[in-house]
Amino acid sequence: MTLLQVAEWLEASPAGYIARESLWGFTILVAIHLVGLAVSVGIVIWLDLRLLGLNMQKQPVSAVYRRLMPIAFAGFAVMFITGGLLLAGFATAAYGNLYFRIKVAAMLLAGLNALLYHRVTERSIARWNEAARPPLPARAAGLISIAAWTVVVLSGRMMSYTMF
Amino acid sequence: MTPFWAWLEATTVGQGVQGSLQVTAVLSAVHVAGMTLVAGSALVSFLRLIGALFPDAPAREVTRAARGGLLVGLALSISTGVLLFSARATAAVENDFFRLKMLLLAGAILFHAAWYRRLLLADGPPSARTRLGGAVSLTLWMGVVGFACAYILLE
Repeated sequence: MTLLQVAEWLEASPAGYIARESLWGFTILVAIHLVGLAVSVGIVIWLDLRLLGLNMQKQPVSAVYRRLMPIAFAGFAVMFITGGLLLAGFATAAYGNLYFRIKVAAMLLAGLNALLYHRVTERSIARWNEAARPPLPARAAGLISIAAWTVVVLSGRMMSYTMF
Repeated sequence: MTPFWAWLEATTVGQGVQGSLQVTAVLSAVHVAGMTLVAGSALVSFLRLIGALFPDAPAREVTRAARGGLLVGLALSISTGVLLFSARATAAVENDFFRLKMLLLAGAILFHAAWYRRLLLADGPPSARTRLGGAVSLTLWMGVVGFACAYILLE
């Protein structure tokens, strides 16, 4: 099955039908998607800025992570579910859209960046947990995260103007 | 006021935005990025004021970056918002969702400047006063986002 065939199958599914054909279904999904954006990206910024040494410098990195990330994860869950349903409604149009491709690439970058941070950089956290300015790999993780999510937000909005 | 809105729409800027989908898309993208920053700032300062985030550390210190982030986000969203508005001023001012959005935006900014900012600059632990302030501020900002969605999606 090619990606395009997957897109056609998604559009033909009941979820795709509701997202596409119901004005209220579409509107409610987009509104919840945006609230999810505010709660996920809007919260993860403050952890990224802590890694960069620009926010809550007197609080340990691990404490900032523990307090903020459960909220951000809830936002990401909401965003991925509503985003998946919206995608089902317009999958073939999204498939051919440049900004959708950029958005997916930026989300993959954000995911890989987080994975690299947890698997490699965070191993030495005991040495810099309380540092106002964490070492370069941690700062880089914060900067890449902010940059990637900014691209996701920008290309997401560009998509809706170029797809229909 | 109607002649003014019609004039604004007829200006080079209003016509330029109206005539270009690309410009509208870029402005709208930056507008939403600014919104994300404003909402994130409102959320994180709310969490500190209700005591869910480092209640033992001074609010002044915990919310320093968030206070700056709010201003940066507002600058991005308001500047792009004015440009987007110029393209459809006469229709926007007639729209109830848009009117409510502007009313809540004015309320959120006034509340922030007149009272909320002082709570964020305080050193004490969370109290009934800071919890109430946090709740009012977050409600106002979320109202702005909610009516913005309603306006753009249902117009």
